[in-house]
Amino acid sequence: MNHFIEVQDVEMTFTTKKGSFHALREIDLSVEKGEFVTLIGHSGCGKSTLLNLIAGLLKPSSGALLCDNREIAAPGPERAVVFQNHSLLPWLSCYENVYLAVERVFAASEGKEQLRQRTEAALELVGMTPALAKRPHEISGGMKQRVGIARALAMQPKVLLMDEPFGALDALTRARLQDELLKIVAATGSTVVMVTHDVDEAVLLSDRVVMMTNGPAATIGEILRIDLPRPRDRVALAEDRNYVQCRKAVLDFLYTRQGHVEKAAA
Amino acid sequence: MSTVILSGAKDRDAAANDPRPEARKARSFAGAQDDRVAVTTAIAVKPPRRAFDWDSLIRRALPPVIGFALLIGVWELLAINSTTFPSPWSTFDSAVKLFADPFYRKGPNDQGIGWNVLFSLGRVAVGFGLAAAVGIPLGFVIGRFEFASRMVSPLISLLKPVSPLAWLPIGLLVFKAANPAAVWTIFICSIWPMVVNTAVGVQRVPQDYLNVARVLNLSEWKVVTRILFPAVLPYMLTGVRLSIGTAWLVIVAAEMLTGGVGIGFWVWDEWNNLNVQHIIIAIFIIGVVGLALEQLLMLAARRFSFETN
Amino acid sequence: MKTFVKVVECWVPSGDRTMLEFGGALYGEHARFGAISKNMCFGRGEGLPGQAWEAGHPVVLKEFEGSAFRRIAAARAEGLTCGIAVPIFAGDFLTAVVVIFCGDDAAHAGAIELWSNDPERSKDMSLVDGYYGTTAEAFEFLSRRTSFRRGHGLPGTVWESGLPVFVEDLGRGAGFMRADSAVKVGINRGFAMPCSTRGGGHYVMAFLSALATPIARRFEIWRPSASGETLTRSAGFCESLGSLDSAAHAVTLEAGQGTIGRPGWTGIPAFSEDASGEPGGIGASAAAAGLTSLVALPVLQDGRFVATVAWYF
Repeated sequence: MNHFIEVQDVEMTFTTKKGSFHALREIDLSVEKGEFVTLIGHSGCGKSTLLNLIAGLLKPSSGALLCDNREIAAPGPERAVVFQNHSLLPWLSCYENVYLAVERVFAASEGKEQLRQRTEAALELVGMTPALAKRPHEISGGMKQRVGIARALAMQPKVLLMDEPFGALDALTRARLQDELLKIVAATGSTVVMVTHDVDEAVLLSDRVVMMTNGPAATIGEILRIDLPRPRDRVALAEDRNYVQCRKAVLDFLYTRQGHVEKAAA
Repeated sequence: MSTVILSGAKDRDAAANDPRPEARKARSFAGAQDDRVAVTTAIAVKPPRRAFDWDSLIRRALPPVIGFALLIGVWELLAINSTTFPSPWSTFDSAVKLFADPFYRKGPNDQGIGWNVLFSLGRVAVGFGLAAAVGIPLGFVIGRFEFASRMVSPLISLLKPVSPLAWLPIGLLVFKAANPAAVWTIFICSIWPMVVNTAVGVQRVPQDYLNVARVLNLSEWKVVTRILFPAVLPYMLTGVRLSIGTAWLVIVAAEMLTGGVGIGFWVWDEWNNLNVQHIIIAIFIIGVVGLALEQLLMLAARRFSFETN
Repeated sequence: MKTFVKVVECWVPSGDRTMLEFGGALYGEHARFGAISKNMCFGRGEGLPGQAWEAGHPVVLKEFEGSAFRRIAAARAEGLTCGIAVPIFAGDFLTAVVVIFCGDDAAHAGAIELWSNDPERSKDMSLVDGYYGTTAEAFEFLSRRTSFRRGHGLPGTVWESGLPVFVEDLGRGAGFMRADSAVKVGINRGFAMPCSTRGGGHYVMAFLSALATPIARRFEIWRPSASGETLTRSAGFCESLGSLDSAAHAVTLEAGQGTIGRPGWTGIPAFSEDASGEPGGIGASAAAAGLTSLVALPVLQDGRFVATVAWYF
């Protein structure tokens, strides 16, 4: 009964100047090792909040979060985060940005040469070797996000947490990066929890799509298991009946059953 | 790692994506292989020769030259209509004589113009250095800790508008000598922009960077040196640039009041000698040095800056 | 009008509680099937009813061949294609096993689903098993891969409320995830009800059927009053009259009265071949709609009687 990540009856309420805001209600979720899980829902449904709770960047108002049987008490490199705004430090080069993470995790047990190799391997994995020495402002948005992913992976985390990592990119770059992410995840066997509001992305990449209701007091509504065979080819899948059905089911949840709530709120 | 100086946003995208060898020359690389690349590109294609752009040179240089000429013209008019006001030509003549021997020493109160300027600059440096040493860490503390901010901010608001010259008597009282008093005055006027700007810089560090630090679980020291300090540096330099102008202004006034050596003292001394040419020359010198200081700091600021998104 | 549900049987424990004996049924046109069934009895674990008793929860039968099912040839002959055996427990005490046989064919689509949640293992309700027949292509793929949280989806709604639900048009429903697929195959009616079990676990049984073949010709959901002395029809749907949800259609019976009132007292389903004989105006209403037979199934929750579901044919 031990799952790799366990979220047990978590509630999250924020106290703001305008009063308290009940963001999440009765969240229960388990993620197995090596699984790719996507959290999907409308804006404001608390999916980023849930991701931040798993990352340890927030503490729940009640309930427990466990990773690998240990309580998630604080953020740490074993739950690496890829932010929506890449968050690369602009005064460091791409190499140095990744090195900062590598050094933090491995300096105690490894020498400089090994750290260098790790950094270079991570950048190689995301195809950013030619831009090792460039500063973030010298590379495009897609490249920045790739470096962000390299930094996260370089830490060899137990879990990769991604908060709408491709949200700020154009459609073509997004498609390319999704394909690369598929390859990387297949190669590393990482456990991934990703937040998105893109239905195609969710169905293409994940093993399970967790659909959240609208906020406030959002909770998990339905979970769809996507067992399409891997490796997944987006072009071939576009016509695959099962893919299309899954996609429609998620769309239906978002835009029919959760959609009318949005219209009422608008 | 060497840094890159970029001239602006429009160059950034072009620079990043430009594959031409001559464009790559403008960017630098790290590592051994890069020396090879640098050498190759140095031998490689040269930029195409273009005819000298007389047009833009004239357009840029002409207006200031005209302005300056107008100033000299007005000056000459004033000189002609007055008995005491010297003419531009006689002033120029004095200047030549003055700069012939800028570093003479005839006595403790009679030294060359060069020495005077250097003494003033020295005092500024010391006062400024002390202000930075105290102000910047204080700014960090205020920016990072809410309690400290609420404790110190009212004090800063109260003391900031006070004219630095009003602090001078206190300096004389405490230190009992002209030199330390002048340094004290520089200190008290330079410190406020540094504290405030540094504090603002610390408060404005994007939460994203701090989240990165949290996920990486960096120690507080690492957070300060690898994240806070570089992020705050542009703000710090702004504070420094704002201070330097005031500091230079203040030292001249303070020296006029306290005497001794320094460009301010020299101005007062020449006034007592009714050597108006020298006073005018001093005005130019003070202006030039002030401008040089500002330009120096702007250069430093650009060198340490980075394009933030 | 053909209905998806063809046969409803009830098996009750014998006096010594070792066997399940015949306890009433509606066979409709399937007299031959009825003939062999009436004299059967099942031990614990034997046959479809016995299996449900043994397991402590409903059991779906989708393949007659090679199963423990004993009346294979007769079922096939009568056009029965699938079944579900639902034990009714009051706490740990079995009161009856209801066996419902359905028949679908190329022209008449229908599906039976059994959903469950094991509170000790997760918060999801997922498909235990289902019979899809000709609707398989549309439904089965998604149903087998979806899990619902309490209060979401058709099974989740029943799970949360603990009461039966009838959905007139699944395609338009704001709560039906597979609406798109449903519309494609013409599935529009849905009925789901909670099943009592021995031990922990929540089970929800769902019937889905197409326009041409409704699940039954009339559904009614009856709720007891707070004192338990009367039963009121709170919701319903009739193929010929439409929705019976509104207050204008509310009817009240005394507890224990008629075929519909009895299950609330006994915990055992009640059958009637002559619906027109029902008291309280129900009989007249049934006769007017051309309905001849009815079965009333009790819904027990934690040993308490919470509703009776009446199906008319």
